[in-house]
Amino acid sequence: MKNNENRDQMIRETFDQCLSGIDELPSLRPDILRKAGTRTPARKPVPFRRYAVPAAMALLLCGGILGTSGLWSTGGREDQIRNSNLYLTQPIETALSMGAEQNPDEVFKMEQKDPAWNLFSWFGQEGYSPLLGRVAGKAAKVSDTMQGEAITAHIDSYYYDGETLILTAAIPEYRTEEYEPSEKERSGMKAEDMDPLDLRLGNLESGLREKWEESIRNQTPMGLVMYGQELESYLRDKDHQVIHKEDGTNPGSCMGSIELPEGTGYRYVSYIRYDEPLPMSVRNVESFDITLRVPATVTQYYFDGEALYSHSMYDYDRFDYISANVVNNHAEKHTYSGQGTLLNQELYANAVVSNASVRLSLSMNPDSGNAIFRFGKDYKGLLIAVQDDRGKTLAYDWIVFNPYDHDPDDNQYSFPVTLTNDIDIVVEEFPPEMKLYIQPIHYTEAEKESMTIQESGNEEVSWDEWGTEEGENIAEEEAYAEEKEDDPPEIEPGTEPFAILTMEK
Amino acid sequence: MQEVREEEETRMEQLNRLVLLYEKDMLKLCFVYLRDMELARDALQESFLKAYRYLDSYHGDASEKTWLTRIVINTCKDFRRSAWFRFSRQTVSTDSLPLSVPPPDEAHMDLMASIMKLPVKYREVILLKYQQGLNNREIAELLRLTPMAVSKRMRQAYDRLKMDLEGEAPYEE
Repeated sequence: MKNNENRDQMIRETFDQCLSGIDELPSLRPDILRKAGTRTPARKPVPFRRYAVPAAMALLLCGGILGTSGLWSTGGREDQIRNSNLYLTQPIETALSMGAEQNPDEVFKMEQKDPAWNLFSWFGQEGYSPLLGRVAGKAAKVSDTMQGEAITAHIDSYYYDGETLILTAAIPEYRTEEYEPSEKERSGMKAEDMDPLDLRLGNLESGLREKWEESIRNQTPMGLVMYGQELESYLRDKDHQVIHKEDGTNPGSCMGSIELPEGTGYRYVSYIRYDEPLPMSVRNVESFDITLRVPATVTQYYFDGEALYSHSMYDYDRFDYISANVVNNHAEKHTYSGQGTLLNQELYANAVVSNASVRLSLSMNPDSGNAIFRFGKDYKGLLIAVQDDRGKTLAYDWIVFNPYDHDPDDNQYSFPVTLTNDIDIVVEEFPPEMKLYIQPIHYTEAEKESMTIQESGNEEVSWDEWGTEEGENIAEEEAYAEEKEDDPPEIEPGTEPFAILTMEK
Repeated sequence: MQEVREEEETRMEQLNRLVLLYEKDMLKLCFVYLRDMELARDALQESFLKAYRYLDSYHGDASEKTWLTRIVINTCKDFRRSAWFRFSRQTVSTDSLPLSVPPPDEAHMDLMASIMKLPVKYREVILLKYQQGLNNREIAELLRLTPMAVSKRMRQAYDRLKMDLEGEAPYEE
């Protein structure tokens, strides 16, 4: 590559050449039209303006998203999935206690200590989410989670106050069988960078674990297949239809999952926090039914005598639904409102504050929205914090301001901001007024340098120059800045805020 | 009743047209996002069904392709939020791509593999610029970023590709 033009051409050619096979695939049009024919069109939505949340915010608790690939499929899996959980009944609280103590022998001796116990308490106590711990007392247990004599995937508990919805769920241990993958299947597997003896085998027939370990010790080939289930974050109604927001998208969510120790009967427990404003159909209602889809997963493992290989896939044709009837807990929440100026323009703020979240709605004249956006070339985003009357920060986050979604016919530019950071603060008494603090976040010098170069028109660093010492230093600094990007920055002392609004009840 | 049926037929015609026009482009987008052809096909179907369901919400304030691309990206992001992605060991491969005729040369295959290894936030800007042919402002609009942030990501993506192709420090998402 001699210059950027060549680089651009190379990348375009790469997409053209490598993806051209997709053009020859059979069309999905018949399937799409058939499925569409069974769906009811949505009613025309009311105007709704999206807000700009940086990816970093969405990943606040969702970091480490990994990918998988797979093409092969195994048939007749439904019965296997259905029967994959043949366990003695074991409440999740017992499993968690057992997991904490690492003593499988104790599992059936323990008794449920507190009928009100739920996974919110556990996530809070274990330090995984102060927020969940904070609202655990207002979270409700889903009553009919245990089905028959088997452990099943289930929604354990939920928190819903009309504005905020958080769910917790548990997924049972996977089931493993011996399996001889075909040559074609083996060729599609990827090497696993792990000791085969460390592979978590889950539930398996008597003697299979020993056989697996023996094959590794003797360096003889052996294959396994693992059947499991995974949790989707789509919010669905009782008819299993995804509940969309008014603009047709799904409410953004964050999922946190903790793998439990082997022998607990459960593979992992998760919570899903819907951070974006809920769709109107489920906002501030007394109760509603929800379902989550739990697709089947299949993972093949093959030890070839030297190394471990695997191949994983979803099977969307095989899935369960887990459900809950969600009832509004009417947790205490208060509405505050106020107005001030932002870049010499009027700014109006409305906040619904509870112990679970601060849901802000900011609105301003469209001109000021554009002014902020233009000003935004010199800063990274806006830090938004809500403080009580003593200056204690209750919630904060940062956003990238983006006016693109503004409806030109609307004389107000409004956007919602949800602050649900996991900061361990309880609003014991909601004060008569709160402060809204809006502060610009500045780019670091390294970021600015990178940006200046980029903005100058031609991307000055050619392909040939990449990897130079200077380039590496910049890359390192940017990587560091990038790591920090996921955490809301602290309020910078001495920085002049854009606005401090007093909001009153 | 007749009006309702006619309206529904019109909607189906609109969907049919969208699928005819954009199916392959959007499938490529899904594949590069999800790195799995089966998932990509699922995401594509889900995206068109969402588009069908919310055809009325499209007011022409963005191009039709931009509107649809946004739906596709959101759908892919939802797929990626699932626990399966969080727990599965990352395997990046171009093996599941349908064979191209003629087959790509080695240099292009290597670059494609490097692109597929990029973390999604870099992969998506590269994809939107070079495969979907969007400029930085359009990409910013789609991803709800500032154009400057798009430029920054683009540059970081180039750096990572360069490092990967030259055998320097590998990176994982």
